Amino acid sequence: MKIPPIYKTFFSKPGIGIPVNYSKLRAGNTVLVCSGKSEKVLEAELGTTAIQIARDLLQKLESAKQQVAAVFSKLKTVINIENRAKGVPSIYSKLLRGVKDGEITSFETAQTFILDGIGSRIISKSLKPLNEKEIVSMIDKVNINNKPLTSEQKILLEEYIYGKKLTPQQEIEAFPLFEKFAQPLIEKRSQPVVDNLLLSIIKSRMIKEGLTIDEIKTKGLLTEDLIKRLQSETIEPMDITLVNNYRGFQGLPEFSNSQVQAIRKATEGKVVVHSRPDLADYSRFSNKGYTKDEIKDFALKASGYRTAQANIVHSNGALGELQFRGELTNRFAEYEHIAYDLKEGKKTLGPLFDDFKNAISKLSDDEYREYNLYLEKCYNYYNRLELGLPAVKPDLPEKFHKILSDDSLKTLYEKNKLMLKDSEKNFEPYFDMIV
Amino acid sequence: MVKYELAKIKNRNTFMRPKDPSDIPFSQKLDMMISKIKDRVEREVPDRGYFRNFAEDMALNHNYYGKAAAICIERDENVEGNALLLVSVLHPHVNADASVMLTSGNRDTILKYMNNKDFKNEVANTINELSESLKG
Repeated sequence: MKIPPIYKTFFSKPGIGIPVNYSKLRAGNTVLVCSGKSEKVLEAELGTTAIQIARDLLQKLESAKQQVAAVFSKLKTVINIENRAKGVPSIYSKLLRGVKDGEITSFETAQTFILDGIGSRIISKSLKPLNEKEIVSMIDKVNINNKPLTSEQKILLEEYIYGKKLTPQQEIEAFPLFEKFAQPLIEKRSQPVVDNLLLSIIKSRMIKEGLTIDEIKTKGLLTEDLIKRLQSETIEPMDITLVNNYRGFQGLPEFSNSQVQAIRKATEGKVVVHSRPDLADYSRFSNKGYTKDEIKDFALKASGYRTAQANIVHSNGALGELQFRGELTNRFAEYEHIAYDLKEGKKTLGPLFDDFKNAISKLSDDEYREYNLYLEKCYNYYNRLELGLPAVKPDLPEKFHKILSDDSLKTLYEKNKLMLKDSEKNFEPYFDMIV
Repeated sequence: MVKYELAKIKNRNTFMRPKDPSDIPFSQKLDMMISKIKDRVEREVPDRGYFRNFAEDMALNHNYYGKAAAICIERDENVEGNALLLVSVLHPHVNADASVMLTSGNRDTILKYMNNKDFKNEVANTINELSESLKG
């Protein structure tokens, strides 16, 4: 006689439960079949798979952590590295989406779908503040299209750097100058992590593809300095598959274009790069690009989120994600996304956020766009400080409720974090019977 | 010699009307894009020194997740006189594109690469892969 499976609810955090096929979990059965199942049964199957994947990731976390530390921890510019394995609720909701989109058909495809199973954040130190003289000297060195700036352009750039009031058109004209001006600063701050990433990529290719030093030299895959380091240092290999260089409108990237090009060349085209085409210094899609309406719609989603990310395959086979950020933007990114999550209807926040939620829900689409613009300015403000540039903290436009300000959001986030920590203090994950 | 029967065509609109891009087969659009970018590499990439980055694009039909594809030539910011040959696909509803490098080198290297008989297939496959990669 076939014994029917036992279904339970698994609570990995207080109040957050997911359905599981308890019998299958106990038997260690990792076969996942998605078709021909009722919604409830499929959800329980996915809950089971989520726990199995989470357990596997936890087992692999330690060696993945060591691998990331071996690549980046010795750098003086890196102040902190945070690592975490994706939790059960988060894997479960991603699996639900994957099945809905037809991307998951088996346990193996489910594992591959969780690309950021192990997440590591590499936080870089800020540069020391620049003085007026240094700024003037940098402005003098800026070239646009291989030509030095005209005196009008220099004045415009200086006004932009010091946050003088400019018209929107002047801001649009000033930003490309500012980006060129800031490129040496971006590279000064991120070059050590990019160099170590390049060495790890090449080391992996030497092991896996038999790439030789002669080939590296002939193909120009690394600079002379890095080749010397490759020959004299112990390098931890690392495989990367995708690079995201996120930034908002009038925001600077974490990695410069020259650094992204170096990564492209080191992988010889094996890495896919996601970027914002409108912020490249040339038009990639001049004929078939976005319409004005589409661009307006993007502003509803854009908060200026700013980070460089790389999808990697750890030596132990786990799929992971490296995030490269500065110390101040990292802190802001922790709580900035709350507004977007609320707008998207995510219900992961506690009662502490009720007033904030209320204020967000009252915003019209146009107001929300304007609010996103404010968040973008906050990102740019923190990033400028990280690069040692003068920066003026943006004011929340008067029409918005004060609870939506950067400071208020930060206070709420920190209070909530303490509350969560408190509620999880004596909490042990448990299974409950489904009634 | 082609003979025209003027009586038959005299009332027709004889102005050239650009063909609707969605009517043009993918393969033909790809040929046009490749031909344009080759011409521009020959004209715009110098033996040495500075040049401006450029690209040629084409719309993608509903068989692809991506909205448009482009072949781009970027000046190599680390090696003077060199360029990177990229293929890029535009996301249909997020302000993002996915791109990959096919090769890098000087003008002759890039042209030689584009003149390879498999180049068109490689671009077509890359467009497909990049388009899929945007789904994640």
